[in-house]
Amino acid sequence: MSLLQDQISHFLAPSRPAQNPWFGKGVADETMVWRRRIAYIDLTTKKIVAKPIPKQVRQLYLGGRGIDMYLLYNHVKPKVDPLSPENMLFVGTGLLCGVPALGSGRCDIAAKSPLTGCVGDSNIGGFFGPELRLAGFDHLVISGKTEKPAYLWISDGSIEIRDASHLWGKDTFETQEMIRDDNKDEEVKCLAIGVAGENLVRFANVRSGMKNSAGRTGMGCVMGSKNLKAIAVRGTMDIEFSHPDELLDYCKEMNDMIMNTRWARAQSKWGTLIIYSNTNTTGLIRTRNFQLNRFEEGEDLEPENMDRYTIGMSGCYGCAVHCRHRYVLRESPHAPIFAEGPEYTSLGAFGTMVDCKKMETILVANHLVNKYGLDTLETGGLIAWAMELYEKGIIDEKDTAGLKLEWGNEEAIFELIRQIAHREGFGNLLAEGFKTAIAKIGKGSDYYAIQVKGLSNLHSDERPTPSFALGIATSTRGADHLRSRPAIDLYGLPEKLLEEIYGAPVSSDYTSYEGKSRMVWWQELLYAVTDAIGVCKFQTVFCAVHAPNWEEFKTLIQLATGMGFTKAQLMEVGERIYTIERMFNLREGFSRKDDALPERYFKEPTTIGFPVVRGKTIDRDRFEKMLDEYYALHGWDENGFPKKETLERLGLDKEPSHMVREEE
Amino acid sequence: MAHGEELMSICVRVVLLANFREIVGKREIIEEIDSNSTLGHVLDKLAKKYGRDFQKIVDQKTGVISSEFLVSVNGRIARDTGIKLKNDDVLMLTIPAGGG
Repeated sequence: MSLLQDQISHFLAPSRPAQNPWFGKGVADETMVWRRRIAYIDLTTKKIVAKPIPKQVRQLYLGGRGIDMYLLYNHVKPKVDPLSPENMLFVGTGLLCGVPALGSGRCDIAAKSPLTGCVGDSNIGGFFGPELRLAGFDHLVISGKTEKPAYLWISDGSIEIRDASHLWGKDTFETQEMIRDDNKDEEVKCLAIGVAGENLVRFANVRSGMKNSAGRTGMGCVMGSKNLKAIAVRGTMDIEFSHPDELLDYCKEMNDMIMNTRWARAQSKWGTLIIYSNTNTTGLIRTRNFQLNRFEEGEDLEPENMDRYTIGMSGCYGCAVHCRHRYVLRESPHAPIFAEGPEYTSLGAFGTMVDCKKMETILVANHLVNKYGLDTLETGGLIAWAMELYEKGIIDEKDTAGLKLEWGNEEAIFELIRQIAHREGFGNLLAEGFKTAIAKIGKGSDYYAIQVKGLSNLHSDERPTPSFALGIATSTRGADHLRSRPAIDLYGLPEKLLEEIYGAPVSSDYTSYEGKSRMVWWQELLYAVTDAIGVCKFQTVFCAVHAPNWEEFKTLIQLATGMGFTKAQLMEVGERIYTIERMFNLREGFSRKDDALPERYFKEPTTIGFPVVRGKTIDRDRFEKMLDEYYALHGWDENGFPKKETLERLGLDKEPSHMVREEE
Repeated sequence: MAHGEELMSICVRVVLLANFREIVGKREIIEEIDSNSTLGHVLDKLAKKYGRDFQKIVDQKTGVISSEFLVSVNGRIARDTGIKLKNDDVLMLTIPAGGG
């Protein structure tokens, strides 16, 4: 066995029991990166082991989502029931967590998804990640299940499993407050589930602070299946960097550059709601589930209409932008509400997709999903689907136990959100997610579901934008705009610039198919690394063409950790992360047939919006051609299986449970 | 157009988003322009009327739309200010804001 394999085996297999403290004084003089620890916590046996993270693993996967996915693939056996104790929850801070720039406090939470059965992960901002690092841990691996509700208490090198019986049944706000009170410390940061996670709603999320969420793929459901109510952390140790003075200068440069741009200043003022103005005016937004591609009476959802509710803007760790509204709802049947948000996603979930025209509806619904711990996007997507089924007579009031799921019926929406979280009535069926709900309803209901691999799509309408359409079809976690969304495709950038960025010709026309597979592939690699280093996508090429990407990431990694990467090496890390996710999904039985779009994308043309977006469907033959090109770029065969030479090049052929086609 | 023939007027709709909406105080305006007008002509007109932010839309060094702004004509992103406009064309002025 090679030295690398030996070290990785050591890393993967917990060994000696933990002692406290296991770092700090007396530890060999290594840079801070190698001092940080991964903790293995077995909730069944109560055994807790801490180990260093091998440098080689950092070089191959960096941190955050990268290491989480590596651990997911190697620790979670194929075909495990996601709700069983054998599923494992991985919490990973980004490699650059703690750096004072680019919203660097992001943390990745991963497991096998109980909603889709494929890779589950979600990225969360806020302040939990840095606090975990200040407590001396970069990664947590949580297995098993406690008999009674519990929470993890992590502080300055120690981890305890504590009773959470008094927290069970509390919403995500109350839970965090009570944990801070119990520990008499207002600075405690938490990851917490609400009643949705306790009730094993398949798309229950993990929450932190007022609004930060690891929203997608049901990571809160996995926590609930382990009776794990929360992970609370308080850290007062040092975060060290390799070249602190140069790093601070560079961070200042980054922050100044970003805040001098109009897009950052617009987000500081309007948050992500500013995206709605552009996309809805053009005609790139789903309305009434999928019936129209522009919200014609949606003026109240325009960002300036938040001004009457907003009391300020807040931000995440290491972020100068502050794109999050803090709002108060004083005059409403549901008042008072003091909350944060909403994001662009919620404008769609509880606005355009369900035909609710008032900002106030979204503010109430946003607060409810945060309180109960539900993925806003999945909740809205399922409700919109149910409303279309109701309209078409596929379901009726007998199915919905009297709920009138008429378009725009906000009280029905609020009640359905409550039912989903508590698994009552019709909400109990929707709480299972698309796959089960479709199977139970039948009657052709699958045709109306806008989902891929069981995960609901954002309210964007990708029919006019082939790059966006390919991205949601190929995303490793299901219909997801965050794995690859090449938003800059909408900017009509000069083709010379696009060729410089992507390394080959890409059409500047967002309705074209030319070069778009390359665009999606490139962005997938970039966002995999973005999630592995733990910075905010809104301060990268996700948002603006001259925003930080490979070169800036290289420099930050060098100054923070001392590790040197070329751009090509960083792209290879992105490839490795994405390929190991692909390997996980293939092992679970997913294949090319699952890299697909809902049939409506091919059959129903767009009808409104600007002339350039009208009459658009996705061309099936051209989509398949894009998919072929995309697979080739990844080094996968025509069925989406990584080729032997790709596995060898990425060092994935010798994984303890490596994936090679049987016939090879 | 034949020599001596009068220019006709056409109207274009200008949809204002982001800071442009803040400055003008309206969601959209109708601009009456000559029938041989280009995008550049309309932007000049708006710059004279509304000032600084509108003046910055066209990069003075290159003469094309600055990458700090997003201008579309009937949904197609415009970089070249020489695009000829027709009656009932719809312009959108905003800033590039992507994401999801």
